Amino acid sequence: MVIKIEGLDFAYGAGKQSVPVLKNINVTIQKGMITAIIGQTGSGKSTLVQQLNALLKPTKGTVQIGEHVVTNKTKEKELAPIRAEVGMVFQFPESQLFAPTVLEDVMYGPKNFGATDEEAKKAAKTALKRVGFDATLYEQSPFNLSGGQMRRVALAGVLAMNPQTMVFDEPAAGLDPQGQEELLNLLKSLRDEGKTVVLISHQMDQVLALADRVLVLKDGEIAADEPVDQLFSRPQSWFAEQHLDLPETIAFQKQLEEKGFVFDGLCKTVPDLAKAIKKQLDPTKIQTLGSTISENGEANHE
Amino acid sequence: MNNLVIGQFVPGSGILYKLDPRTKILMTIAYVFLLVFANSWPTYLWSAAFLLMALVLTKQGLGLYWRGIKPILWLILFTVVLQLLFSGGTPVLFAFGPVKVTLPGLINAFYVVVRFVLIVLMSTILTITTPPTAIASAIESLLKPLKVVKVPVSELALMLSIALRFVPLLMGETDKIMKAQKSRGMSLSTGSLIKRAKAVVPLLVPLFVGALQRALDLANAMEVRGFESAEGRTRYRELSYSKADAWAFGAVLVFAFGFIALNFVS
Ligand SMILES: Nc1ncnc2c1ncn2[C@@H]1O[C@H](COP(=O)(O)OP(=O)(O)OP(=O)(O)O)[C@@H](O)[C@H]1O
Ligand SMILES: [Mg+2]
Repeated sequence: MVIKIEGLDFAYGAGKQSVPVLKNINVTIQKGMITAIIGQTGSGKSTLVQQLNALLKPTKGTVQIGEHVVTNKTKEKELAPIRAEVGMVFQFPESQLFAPTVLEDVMYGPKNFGATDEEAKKAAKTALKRVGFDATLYEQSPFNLSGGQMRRVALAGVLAMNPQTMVFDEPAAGLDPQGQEELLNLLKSLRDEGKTVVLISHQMDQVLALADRVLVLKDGEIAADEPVDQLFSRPQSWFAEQHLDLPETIAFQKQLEEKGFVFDGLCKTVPDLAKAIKKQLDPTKIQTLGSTISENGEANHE
Repeated sequence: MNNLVIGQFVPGSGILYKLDPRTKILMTIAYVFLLVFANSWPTYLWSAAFLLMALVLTKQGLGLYWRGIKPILWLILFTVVLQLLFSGGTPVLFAFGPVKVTLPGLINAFYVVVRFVLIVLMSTILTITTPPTAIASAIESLLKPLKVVKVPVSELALMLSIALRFVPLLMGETDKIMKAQKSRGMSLSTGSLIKRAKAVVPLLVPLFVGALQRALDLANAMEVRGFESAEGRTRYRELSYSKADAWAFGAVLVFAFGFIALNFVS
């Protein structure tokens, strides 16, 4: 399922007090890929992704989600089926928990979309297992859990609906490093199953490691829409203009390039970078140094 | 939800923005109080003229006020129907079986609507031109005399201003939770009444839990910073009357005298 946004303008509020947020957006979210959306705070990322499951309707233009076309005039009733196809995980999703037990909370979504109790329970258990939630806590109240556990339940709540496309709005905020790692692995495994994933993130290292394609928003307009390698090949000054940081490895590579190093392509990981540097140095002198960097790099990266 | 104008502050530059909030509150109270005694079309006309002047002095577009009235149109309509159907008298204009519409009923309905709209508009002017926090401090200042009879005015005012500060936060939170649950298939607009009532549970529970959590956090934050009593706190903005307030009081006095005179004449 492809999501296609054409000629989209969006403003919050109406009349004199309306605030234009998105301007002339034309993008296609490709199937089976991880698309990252980056941009300075307030650039309109959250507003943009809320068009993807019709939580917000365009002020102008159209959003085509699979077979559904959403415009300014689309009725609320017609929007419900879209939400079964596009799941949405908000920042700090744990604030959506409400049911008396963990299991019931996760079953809420599937049941709303017509699953029987049995089916919903099965889907909920699968989803909870997938996010690594402890099975002994299924009958607990979600309000007695730790922050990280609550986040997992909330994630499972959307996974259980098994939508074809999943959108994550800064999902890793406030998680510990291990939790972040697990989350990123989850996104990868979703993509590997053929699901479409959209990810808003401020962490450039995450974007580099995960994304296939990147959208850059600046003041509500698309500043770039291209494969991740192409994006990070842009000069540092361009990123400064967008008020974005480069991932650390890329920033380092670019500094070396200024000093006269020549690289074949983009080095996405520390070991890649180490290997490329090693190639450029006098092999007889640097052999040992190079291999330590490489080992450390690998060790850090596992 | 953001379309609700009543109770919402809209920044602007009209003269009414420069008045002390206490003046505006007293003005509104006086206006509403007098309006209850309006008994003839000249007094209504006089009241409408005063309101029109206030409207113009806010320097806001009339569209804003129209949006303020729109959500309560059905309430107005309901009042009209009640007035039409249940006030007796003669002459009867037309009748369907036992239901009669009479001329006094029609006139009454018209007056009720006018009064209602005037009162709503006047209170809307107050809230549009006055930030909630200013209203809270004005109320505290106006209630000060009650301290003599041991009413905890400062505490009440602090509670009011904290509550007011929570309103936009809660609206934001409601919006966020609503979107999250809609994404999980919540639907508030279909099904039987009981079904609809049940459907709000996923909205209300997280809202209450979140609000309680916030309140506890705030209480702790106040306590660790040494909060003891609301009594004798200093303010960021002190209230003070200015020349504009004197003019406003003058205008209200003129309005009141005119109103009373017109009421006696008819
Ligand atoms: N509900 C709303 N009502 C009015 N304006 C809003 C609303 N939500 C966001 N905005 C405004 O829209 C603009 C874009 O907001 P948005 O939340 O989409 O930014 P963002 O790119 O997601 O930022 P962040 O990285 O901080 O999450 C901001 O200027 C914001 O003030
Ligand atoms: Mg955002």
